[in-house]
Amino acid sequence: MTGGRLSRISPKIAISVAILLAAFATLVSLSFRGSMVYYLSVSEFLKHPPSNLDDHFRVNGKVVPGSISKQSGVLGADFDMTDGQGIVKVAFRKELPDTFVDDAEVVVEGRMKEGVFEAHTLLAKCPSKYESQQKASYSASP
Amino acid sequence: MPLFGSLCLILALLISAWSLVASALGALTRSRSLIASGERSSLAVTAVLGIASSALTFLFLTDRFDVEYVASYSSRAMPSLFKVAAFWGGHAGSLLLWVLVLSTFSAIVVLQNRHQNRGLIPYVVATLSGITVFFLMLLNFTSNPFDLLGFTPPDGKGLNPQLQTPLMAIHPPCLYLGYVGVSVPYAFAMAALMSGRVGDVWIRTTRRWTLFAWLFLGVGLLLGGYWAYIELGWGGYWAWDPVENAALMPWLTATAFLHSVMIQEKKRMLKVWNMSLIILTFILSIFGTFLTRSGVISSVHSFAKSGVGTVLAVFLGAVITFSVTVLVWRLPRLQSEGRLDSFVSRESSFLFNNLLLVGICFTVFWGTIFPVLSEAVRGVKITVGPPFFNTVNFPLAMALLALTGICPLIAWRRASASHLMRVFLYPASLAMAVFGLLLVLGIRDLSPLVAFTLCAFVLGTMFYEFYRGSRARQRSTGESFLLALGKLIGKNRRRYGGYTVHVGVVFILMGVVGSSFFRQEATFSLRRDQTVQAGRYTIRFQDTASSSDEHMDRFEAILGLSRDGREVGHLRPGRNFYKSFNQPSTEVDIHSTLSEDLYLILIDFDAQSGLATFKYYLNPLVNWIWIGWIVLFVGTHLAVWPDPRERALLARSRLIEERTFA
Repeated sequence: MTGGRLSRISPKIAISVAILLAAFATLVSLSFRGSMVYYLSVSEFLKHPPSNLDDHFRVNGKVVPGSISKQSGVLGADFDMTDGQGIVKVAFRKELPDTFVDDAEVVVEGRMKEGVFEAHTLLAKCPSKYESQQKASYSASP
Repeated sequence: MPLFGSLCLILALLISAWSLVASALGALTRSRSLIASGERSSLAVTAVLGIASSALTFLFLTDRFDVEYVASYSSRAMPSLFKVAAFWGGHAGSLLLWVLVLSTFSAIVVLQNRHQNRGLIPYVVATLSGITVFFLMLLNFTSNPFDLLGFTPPDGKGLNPQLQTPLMAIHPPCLYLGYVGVSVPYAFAMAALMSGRVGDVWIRTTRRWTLFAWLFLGVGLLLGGYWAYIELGWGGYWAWDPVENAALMPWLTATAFLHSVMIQEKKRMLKVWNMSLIILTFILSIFGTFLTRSGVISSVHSFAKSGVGTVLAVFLGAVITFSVTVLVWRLPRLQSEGRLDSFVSRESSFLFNNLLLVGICFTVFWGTIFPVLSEAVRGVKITVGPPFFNTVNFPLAMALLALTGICPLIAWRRASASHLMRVFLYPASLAMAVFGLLLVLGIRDLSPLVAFTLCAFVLGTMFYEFYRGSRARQRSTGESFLLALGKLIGKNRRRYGGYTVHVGVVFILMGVVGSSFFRQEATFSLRRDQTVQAGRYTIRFQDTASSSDEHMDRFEAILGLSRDGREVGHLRPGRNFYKSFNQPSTEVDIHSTLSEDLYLILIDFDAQSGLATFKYYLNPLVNWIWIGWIVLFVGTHLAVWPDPRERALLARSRLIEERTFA
């Protein structure tokens, strides 16, 4: 497929393309290793925290209703996060997104420290067009 | 009415299936009546889908909450504009919009080509109908927007308040125009392969379609970013989220395609590459649709796990198999007629441009699907964050930027050293001057230094190109400089439109680099009449105000702003509380200038102590992103405006092709 085309390209260009590709591959693999993070659900995280990628994790789950506690004068909140099986305590000390409410799906990134997951980023699922939970609540009503 | 809508959808499916069959058979048997029937059917599908869509709009406007889709996305209190926009607020409606746009494009293609491209058209109609059939099957069998609830709730759920902005009303249609628009050049490419007419007719015929799709994908990306910036309150506009990546990838390959087809038109080379690029672009646009709906890849945007994921994956597999088979079958006809001679030629700069764009696309793709791959292979999800995308793409983008500046200066085939010296002198001097200036200003970080220097170089090149062309014209015609400039652009719209687009891209990159490398942010708490310093700005917390209506309570802080001691206005960041959604919404306020944005968020207000907590972001140059898009928009229009020269070239290609196939 490429044989016919390559023969029409001068060796100089072919070589520089090859060098570029090699540089690109190196760049990808080097920066890739540096930014890999485990992405786990709460129970996966609790059961088997793998540790060869630093001790830094991305964990997703839902905010346990009623567990959000905020202190006045302090940014962020403490809350419990669950995936229906396990529960983990989370502390987050930056400003919270609007979508952070009871039952919101959240993804936190950070590490465990003395039994509390200290998150440095927190994403709460933002209201997208393709929301279908509403459907479920309608079907449930009489 | 809902029943009528459902019937329309079934009817549309049947007619488009016939259109597929008739066109395919017509193409094989060369039966004029079958071909004509296929074309008429494709027009009929558009009409029927138009009626179905009007019916759905009518249901929204008349608050028919017995329809599940209307009840889920509309409510009585919503303004009419958003009731109309709620049409594409959910999954089923956005699918309907998708297929409506697709069938409208098919109808336009049919009408445009009543007397031309007759050898291609049956295959084009068959391909487009095939895609239409698939999406209509999805609509009919998995997600019908006309489904009834079985009871009538008193009011609908309503569209989420964060989506109730005019931007959000036009953002999805723009993206769809782009995603779907890619189908047209893809269909022509497939038709070229199937009919064996693989010359440059299909490329020249679809050039404006490709530009159109490319522009709207881009505008969709822009509106999404801009909406995130002014609405979501995190001070940024791009997060390498899968949904954003999904739209970026086809845009990148379409950009590569737009460049590489020029080589085919001029040199009759890279034919296989161009075919591969347009196939890839189409696949990525379907993949984008797949990504936003399947729930396969988690994102900050929530998706419906609507079960269409598997179906779309099967379709994706079918498209890939079909496209690759046809391409491989026609490989012998896609021999290159030219040769890449020199390292320093415009051809090779286009080649490198393409490699870089595809490289960026690959990086984005790899980072996006890696969590799924790692889960499949190693049983554990591993994600990569923005640092990966940024580190890999930054050098690639810089190389691309450098090429943007170099390419117009070097000649086709082979450029001589003395010629290079002459043309590089001014742009390179400008770049060095900017480099020196940046050093004097105290910028020591290598990445932005390189980026801004290259931006200056490209702007210098573009300015020099406009200047050189106008001067040459002025000398030969004796026109005034401005008239010569105007005529130069008017007579070479494609070329100077392209340059204008490049100027826009440079502005965008300036904005991205400025706001990424030099952003400042801080959180602070103030009591009334206290001040805080943010860069050159002094912010004074003056007062609070609250208001309330039937939909929401609004609370805002009023802050006086002065720069270098001079009053420049007020900022009113606040929080809205939407009663029906039980959710607060941060309303940011931004003081915008060409050099920077002061972006202010109210985080908290404690009424007892009177202490308000704010966060500011200083985003340098961020407005150049939006300005760049406007320039890009204008440039693209220059390039797509009908051009007698392009038309003559197309007519010539058609003539050659007709002779070959006579």
